[in-house]
Amino acid sequence: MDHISAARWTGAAARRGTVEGVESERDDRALVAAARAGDADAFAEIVARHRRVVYQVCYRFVNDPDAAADLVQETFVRAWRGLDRFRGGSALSTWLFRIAINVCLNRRAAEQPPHDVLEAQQLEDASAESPDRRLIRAERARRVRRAIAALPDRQRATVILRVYHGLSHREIAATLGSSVGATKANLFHALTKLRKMLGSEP
Amino acid sequence: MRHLTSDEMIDALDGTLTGARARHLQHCATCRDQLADVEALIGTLRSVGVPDPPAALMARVSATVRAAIEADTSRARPAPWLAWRLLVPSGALVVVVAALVSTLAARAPLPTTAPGSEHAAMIADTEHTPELDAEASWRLLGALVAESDPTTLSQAGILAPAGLAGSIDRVVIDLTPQEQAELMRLLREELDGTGG
Repeated sequence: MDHISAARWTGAAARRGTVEGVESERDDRALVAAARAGDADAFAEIVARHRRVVYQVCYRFVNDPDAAADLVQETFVRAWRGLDRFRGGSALSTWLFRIAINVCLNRRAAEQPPHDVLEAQQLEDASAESPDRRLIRAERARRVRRAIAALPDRQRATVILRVYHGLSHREIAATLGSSVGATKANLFHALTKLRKMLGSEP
Repeated sequence: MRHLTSDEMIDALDGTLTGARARHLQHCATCRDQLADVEALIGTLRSVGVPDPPAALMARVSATVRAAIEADTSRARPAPWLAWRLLVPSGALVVVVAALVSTLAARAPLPTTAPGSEHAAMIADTEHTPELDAEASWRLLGALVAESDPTTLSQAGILAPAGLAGSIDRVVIDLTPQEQAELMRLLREELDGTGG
């Protein structure tokens, strides 16, 4: 069972993408150093490299492409202005996640009604599936997103960072300004609520 | 029999549950079922992905961020001592001082004990060195600025007029040693370029 559990989280870490790789980290550090010196092109490269994964964090918070894009923009502008505060103690992507989550929490944009654009796009993308299967998948996705959106902000942030982006409890605690114990408790309570909301959804 | 706490359940999900509590999990069907339910839930959550954002949306993100950065950059002012508005007149002052010191140093030695003439003593000291002594020059510069008529200095482009932010005399005198060294280097380049 431990193997299964560990594999789940390991998979999440892998989903953080190649930006977490050693080579990319070295490149990120060089880009950060150049950007700190005022090189706007270097920062543009950072944006191009990380905007997609930051978008995923924001999208899961607000369930709306345009609102998520606005949050991504604000995240990177804040990152530019706060580059001197990035000490390199964590991956650049983790630092950007922290900013993104705080932008999301501050904006409280998740309170906006969720859109169903995702379902439409998934239907278009899943052309190989049968219509029935696509409908079932779209409905499941809608229920999951609405359940996550119904969580309290900090629990939602914890689920997004841990389940979807594989941040450690320590990193999440640092992001939310709480303790590791509180982060674990947040995650457990969030999962319990989600299980109730989603019932026996397979 | 005590079942797993919420912390321990998360540890079990992480694969970090050890010792007696891990052994409990192995033998407790209730805890194993609960863990299996949570794992299934996580699988369900992860089955819901985020589609790739439209390329146009990402392009908009990059363009907007770039514009914000450029706006920031254009608003940002250079370090006060590097602003040309200040550096040029400040440099002119040092050039004048340097020329004055060189001229005086080439003449006969001045009496170093001339009454009330600390500046002359400073200048006389420079006679013994082939190049300007930086520390003596700065002391002389500070003394000249401090004791000169502000109107005259202002008309000469040395002292900022009243109301101009960042008075030049303070900018020059309050420079750190590193900034002074950099300014001296620039001035030496300037002097070399003009045959000074």
